[in-house]
Amino acid sequence: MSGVAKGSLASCDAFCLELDSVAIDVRRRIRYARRYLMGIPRARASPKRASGESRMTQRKLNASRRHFARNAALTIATAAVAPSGVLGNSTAATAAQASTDQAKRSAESQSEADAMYQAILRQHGDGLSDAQKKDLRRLVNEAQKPLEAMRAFPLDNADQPGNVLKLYPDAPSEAPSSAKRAGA
Amino acid sequence: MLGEDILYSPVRDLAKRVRTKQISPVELTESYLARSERLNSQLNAYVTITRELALTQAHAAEKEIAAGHYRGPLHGIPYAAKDLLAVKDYPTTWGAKPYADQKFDFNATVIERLNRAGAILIGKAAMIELAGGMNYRYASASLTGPAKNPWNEGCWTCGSSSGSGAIVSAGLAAFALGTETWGSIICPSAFCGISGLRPTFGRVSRYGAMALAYSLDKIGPLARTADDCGLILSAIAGHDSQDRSSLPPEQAAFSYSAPSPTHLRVGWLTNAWEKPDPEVHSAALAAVEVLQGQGAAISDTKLPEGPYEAAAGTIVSVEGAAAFHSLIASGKVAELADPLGQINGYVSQQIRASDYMRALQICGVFQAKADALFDQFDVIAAPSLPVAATTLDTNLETDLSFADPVGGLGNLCGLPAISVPCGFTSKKLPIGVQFLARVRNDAAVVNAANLFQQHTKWHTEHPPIS
Repeated sequence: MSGVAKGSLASCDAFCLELDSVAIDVRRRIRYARRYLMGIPRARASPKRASGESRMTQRKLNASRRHFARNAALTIATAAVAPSGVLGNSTAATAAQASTDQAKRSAESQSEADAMYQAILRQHGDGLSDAQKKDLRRLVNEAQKPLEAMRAFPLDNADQPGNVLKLYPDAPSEAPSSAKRAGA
Repeated sequence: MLGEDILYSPVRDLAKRVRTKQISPVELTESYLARSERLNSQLNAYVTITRELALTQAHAAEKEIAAGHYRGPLHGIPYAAKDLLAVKDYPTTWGAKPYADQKFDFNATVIERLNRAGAILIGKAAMIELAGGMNYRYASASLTGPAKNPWNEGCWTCGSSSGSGAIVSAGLAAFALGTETWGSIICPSAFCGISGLRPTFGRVSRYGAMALAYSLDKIGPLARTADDCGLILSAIAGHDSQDRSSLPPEQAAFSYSAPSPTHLRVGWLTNAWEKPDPEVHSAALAAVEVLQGQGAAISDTKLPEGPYEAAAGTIVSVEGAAAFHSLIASGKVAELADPLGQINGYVSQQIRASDYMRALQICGVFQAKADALFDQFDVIAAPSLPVAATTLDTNLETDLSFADPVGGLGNLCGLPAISVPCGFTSKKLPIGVQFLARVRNDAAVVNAANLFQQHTKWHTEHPPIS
């Protein structure tokens, strides 16, 4: 194969990759617009390990590269106008939906806080003063806000916990094996 | 007795004098012991002063060095250890009344490592009860009362390594060990005007240390300089199969020799604190400009957005409640000194397993994001705290309650960080600047802080206490 031919193929690959990248960007914009309409917080942008769904999406993308290239211009044109127009028209509806969600969440949250408080009283109430009970009521209410913040954060099946089980080769310890970490 | 000029010397200088026999380890130890015993009641810095052990170790060190067996820069150097580290046959109180009589029949791995390096333990440093694991409202949340700031005894040292901060700041020992689950090394270092290093999670074994949050606890040095922190970390770092979170041997080890960084890339965090005190902000910004003057490339950057503070808080609460389950279930938690600490464990116990799991997943997500942040920078910098030391009677729940995204992300993701002094407020209270780096790049934070200290004198200032 000649150098020219190699160069042409390389250029073609680069072009296709560029189109793929444009396509992904377009899809992201559309997805964002759709999520915004549905009141779902914006998905994070950081790369993550492929879930079953995203692996499938990748295969689809590879298979339809040429097909996609033919339709790229049309898609780009659509996406370019979609977000602003769609978002502009939906502001009131979105705000109403968000308000409903907030109210629902607050009711659920209050109910959860009440349940936590009652559980504490059932288990430990006998030893608590009125002032401590009042303090506990405040604390269970305050505990809801960070929990809600976490629950609103989009996670999926592929998001692994930060501290998965790691098995390292055993190395000799300086400390006696009969001792243990001074846990409570 | 040795004078303040010697007692406030960095470990590196003391080591040189000990190695060349200009100073005897026994004389150095006796001087620190005398100063500690004289000032302890004034500062509430120690739970226990281990005089007998210290003198035994000092005599052994002196004999070895005289015989030509010099172990390295910590040989013959006196230090204090936070009272949550097990020291064989001495009380290890965890700073809390329910554990006031607790003793272990073994040494924590860090204590063993320092023994091996020839360092001399002169005392167990005071701390916030259970390292703040049950939360607390006042600086007095400790078996030994509030640790007082040597720069102003009406102010706090910050916690939970409150005694470690006071000891180093007041020149009661050459260095101290502290621990950080969230803020407990960085904050006392900033409030007390000293250098404190929070190593990468898993780099220093926690075996023999009180467990607060298994996923977040770290042990690190508080000392006079960043250079000292590097020296001490190289002695205490390393894999330990007794700590299941210990990094593998090749990743846990830390070898250090004072380097001269070149082309340092520093990101200045513009969203570290919502409303930093203007004096604090200016001093920290000036610190970064010092680095710029030494050839570092400085540019603004931001922490990612997300509920990582909530996740870190959830992990601390749930793991703390698990670690102290028997204390909470037995009702003995009521013996804690702090009114908030007496009841908050009950709330922590109610958090759902699904929320805890979610917090760990968020941790995974933000580990990747934090890592990406360091593609552009060797270190990121910010004021260590948005304020200087607060008064002893401050209600910490209401008056020292602010978002801490740097500490939240840094601790959730196990990032190394260092705080070094960078100025004073108009009330002559210390201000700190912190540097954070990618996981396992502890050398970068030490190097950045070391470069800063090579061109400034803030770390050489001492409090007006004698």
